[in-house]
Amino acid sequence: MNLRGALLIQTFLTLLLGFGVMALGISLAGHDAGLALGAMFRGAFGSWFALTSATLPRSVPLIILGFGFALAFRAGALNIGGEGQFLAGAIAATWVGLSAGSLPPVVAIPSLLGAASVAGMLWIVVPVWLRARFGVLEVISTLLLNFVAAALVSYVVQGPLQEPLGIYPQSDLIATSARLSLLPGTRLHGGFLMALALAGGGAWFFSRTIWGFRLRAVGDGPRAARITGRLNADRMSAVALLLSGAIAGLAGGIEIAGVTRALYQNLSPGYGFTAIAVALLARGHPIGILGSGLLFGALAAGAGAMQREAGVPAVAVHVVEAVVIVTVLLADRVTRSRRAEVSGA
Amino acid sequence: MTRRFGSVLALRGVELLLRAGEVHALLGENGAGKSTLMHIAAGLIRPDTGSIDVHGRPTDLHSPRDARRAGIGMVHQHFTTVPALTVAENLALARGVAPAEWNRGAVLSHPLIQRLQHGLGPHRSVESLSVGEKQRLEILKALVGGQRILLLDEPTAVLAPAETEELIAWSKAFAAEGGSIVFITHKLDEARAAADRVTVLRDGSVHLSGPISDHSDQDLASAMIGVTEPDSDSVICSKSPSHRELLVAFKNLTFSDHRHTLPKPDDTDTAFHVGEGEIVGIAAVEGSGQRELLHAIAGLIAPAGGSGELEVTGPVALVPEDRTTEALILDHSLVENLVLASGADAPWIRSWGRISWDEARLATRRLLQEFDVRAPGPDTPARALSGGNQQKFVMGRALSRSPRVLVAENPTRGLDLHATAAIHARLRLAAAEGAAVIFHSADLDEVLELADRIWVVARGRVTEAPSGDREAIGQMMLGVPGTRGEP
Amino acid sequence: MLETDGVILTAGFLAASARAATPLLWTALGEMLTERSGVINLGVEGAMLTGALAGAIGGMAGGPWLGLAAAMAAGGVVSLLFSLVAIVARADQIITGTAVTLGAIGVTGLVARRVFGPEGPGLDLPRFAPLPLPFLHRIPILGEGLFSQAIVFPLGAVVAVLLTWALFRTRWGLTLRAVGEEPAAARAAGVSVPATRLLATGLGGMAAGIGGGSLVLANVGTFTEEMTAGRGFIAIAIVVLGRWHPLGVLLAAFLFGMASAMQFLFQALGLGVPYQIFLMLPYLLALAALAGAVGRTRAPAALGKGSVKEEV
Repeated sequence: MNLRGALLIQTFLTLLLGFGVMALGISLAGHDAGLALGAMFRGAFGSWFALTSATLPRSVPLIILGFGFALAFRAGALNIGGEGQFLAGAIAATWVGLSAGSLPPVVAIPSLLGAASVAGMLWIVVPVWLRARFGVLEVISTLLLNFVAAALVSYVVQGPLQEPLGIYPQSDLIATSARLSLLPGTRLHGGFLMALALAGGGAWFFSRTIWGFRLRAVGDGPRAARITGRLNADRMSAVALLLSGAIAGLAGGIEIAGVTRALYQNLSPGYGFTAIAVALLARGHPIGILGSGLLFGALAAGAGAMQREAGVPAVAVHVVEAVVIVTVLLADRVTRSRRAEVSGA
Repeated sequence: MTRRFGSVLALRGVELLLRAGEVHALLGENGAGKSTLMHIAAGLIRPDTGSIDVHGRPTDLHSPRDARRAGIGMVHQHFTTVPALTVAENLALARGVAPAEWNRGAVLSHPLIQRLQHGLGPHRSVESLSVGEKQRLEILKALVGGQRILLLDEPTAVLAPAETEELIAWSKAFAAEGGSIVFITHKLDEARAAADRVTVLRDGSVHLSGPISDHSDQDLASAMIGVTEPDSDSVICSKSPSHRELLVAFKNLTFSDHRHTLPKPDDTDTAFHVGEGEIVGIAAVEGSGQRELLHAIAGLIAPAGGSGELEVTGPVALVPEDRTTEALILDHSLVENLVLASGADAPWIRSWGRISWDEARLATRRLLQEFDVRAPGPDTPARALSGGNQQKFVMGRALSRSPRVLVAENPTRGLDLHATAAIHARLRLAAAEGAAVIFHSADLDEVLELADRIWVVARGRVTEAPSGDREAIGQMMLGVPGTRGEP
Repeated sequence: MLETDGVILTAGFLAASARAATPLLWTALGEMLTERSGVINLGVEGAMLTGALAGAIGGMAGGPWLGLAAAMAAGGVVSLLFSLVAIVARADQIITGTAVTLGAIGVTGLVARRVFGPEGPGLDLPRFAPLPLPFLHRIPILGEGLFSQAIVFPLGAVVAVLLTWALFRTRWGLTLRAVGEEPAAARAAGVSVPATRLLATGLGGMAAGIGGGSLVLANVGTFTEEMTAGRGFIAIAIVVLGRWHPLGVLLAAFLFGMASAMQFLFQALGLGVPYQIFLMLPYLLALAALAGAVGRTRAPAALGKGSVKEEV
């Protein structure tokens, strides 16, 4: 059978199940599921404005964070700390953006994004070191640092980076020259092109280059990669984790430069966690991540509309995400055991 | 006492009769159904049809617990002790009692059982036990509930010759006191030394059964293997080059990984050499340091500092020990597995690290053909191949790089006779074409059969065996003093 | 004068530490049990959160004891969901745990909105009263600090002692440890690996539910969305710091309680340190604990690796 076709069907069914469970939950919680889902759809795709100003801007961080997660995931490492690295990147980007007033955009934007990437990478340095030195599971260490990052954002928006009046817990707007330009009449920013480029480049990297191949080898068969491939598996997953952190930081920078233009306390509505579902649904494939990122972006956009119009709390979309992750896991188990049966292994 | 097994998928109408007070050898090639049969007797699997009678009574064995209650204890091929627990806790686990009650009852004070306990203090952690001690603990676990029927699944595979002898002697004593043992092996001499009667399995059916003294080795071998056909593959071209170039030389090596210092393969000043066209076999019991030595020669680990010297003239190719986790990524296709083993200078690597998959596919197809790997094509996942074909692929992949030095660890483990013969032929051919071949096999007979020269690694020391004398080498493997080959 | 201040401050600090430690203690004890069987359950955060919500609803309906029972049941149900995917279907434990926690955040959000309305339940839930332990509560400082707590704290300490006995002195504990170390060996000994793990994970989830419930019923007296704020993950760090030993977990949980209580202490002392530092402190401490503890101890060998291979 056509493997790709089967995967598409499976993905479609997974989503159907996810929405089904959420709809069930919504009606059980006493809301009108039809109204909620309708509001969701209108909020995501209902108009040119909804598409370009709600769905696409929200999908940008998801695609980039999802790609960052996938990079480490395919190298056999789990970076659950995308949220924290995203926030670290956002803090650094804000700091650069606030002081970039005199610089031309060609300098200001790259330095803002560069600072964000470096900050994201720095935020994962400690977990990477703990993993290499003490064998600490990176899952737990990256996760813990998410909470530290959230507290750090809370501190800087009430401390060093607070707006000059000192009233609101947020930063000033960053310099105009450091902002990403918008598609006229919409809120779609240049970061979308970067997300597209990352996905395309990532796909090429994994399937066509020896470096991408080696990362996959380390993830799929660490012992064989070490002994037969003569690869330093630990170092490669460390590099993958660092890159993963840098990409997550970049997403935070793009969010500041393209969407919010300032640092807020609740900058991310859990993008880092949603991105895990995004990457898993696409099985870590960059082009797939583009698709699933758009989809979850639509979900996030629709969730806002759902809350406004139907009174259903936006956190309900986490149910869809959870169901999607679990279904993908189960489907993979089934295909794997079927494969094992066929080969008699 | 009778036990009968009916037909199972892997077994067809097999019947086995185990008498009280006998050691019964169960012979057969890999995949002949020996283990399946024993797993049924141990309650791990249930037969589709057929029955088991213990002491003349039909007995249903739903679980290992049932089997133990019926008086059947099993020692698995792979150890089933828990390393993090103590000897006492492991015994308590096997008996299904609380830790403090591990030595309840009189079983452990029986002289035969005490003979097994030698050196096994109850509070020693199993991690600290040697392979031989673990083996004895396994047998203790199988008997601790008073079981009188013991199933030993290839118990000698991990043992050195002297330990094997002791096990055989013990088995006979156990049988002499009325116990029964099924002794699984594929070595004829062991079967003959240990057993009173024998059953030979092939392809899931019994091909021979009866007192072992009634049958010649030839009878047993042809029952195991089927029609004996000459090995058409094994072409031995032994050219004796007049001037051999030395490709591997070392002395005084020590190794350490980040945690602990591994045994020193050599603390003498003797230098060791391997020249082109030579096959050096390494005889050693598990964990003696041979793996570190082979990996160092293959360039995977670097010797720690000190006065050690290691010179290898490359390229070196390695056939790693574990086919399924070290040599292959089973979920990757064959072409990906080829690319995995090749460096950045392979012909299918383009500028910027790009891979030309078409070219790599072509190379894979050539390899499959040249090395007679039965596989649909380069895009087949490695998982879909049989063990023999996987190993032929691994061997072919190593040789396709025309190595000057070929290092192999247990290259035929788990393979059937035909695949083994094919691998042997490849190793010989590689040497004949001028490579230096260094291999280790846990099977001493394979080392004796294949090697031009033999090194023994024991407790981290390398010694050149002065002759091909099986017994002497066996002693050296255990590090018995005074048996080191002095020059 | 200064001395009395010191006494009051110390007793108050210990009491605050014990309060903060209680939810962590229960959850970590449960997770310790789960991990001893070779399963790492990141869904404890979800189990805790669900337990908190169930505790709030149950507490509102029938007082703190009913709330605690509801919390325990809810934690058990959440861990059952985890078990079905990660143990029965043998999917990746870490990703499954993450998904379960995500799902619990969504579901509790929906349910809380439904039950309490958008304003939340308010600060009026019935709580466990402090229970001065006979004799012990008269000890100066310690009496007021540790021995006059809501019942869930001393109960947690008793459970820790009981678990020590159960793990190291009973057949059940031996089996559990064997399953976590060497599932194949346990299986050969006639033990059902999945059943053992299901039970350990179920008990772990129930304990996490109690942990979440005690957060509501003994500490804050209300439910807010995502109120556990990563305490489930901290519990995992506590298990490591406590070296997978119940008494170690008891100590480590209290240490974390002290870290959280530190912010009240510093506020009382009037030091001008930004409060966010104290928000970070437990997480940083957890990180340091992981680094310091892992080097010296060993996790159960089969932790997180899924079940025995299919072939015998």
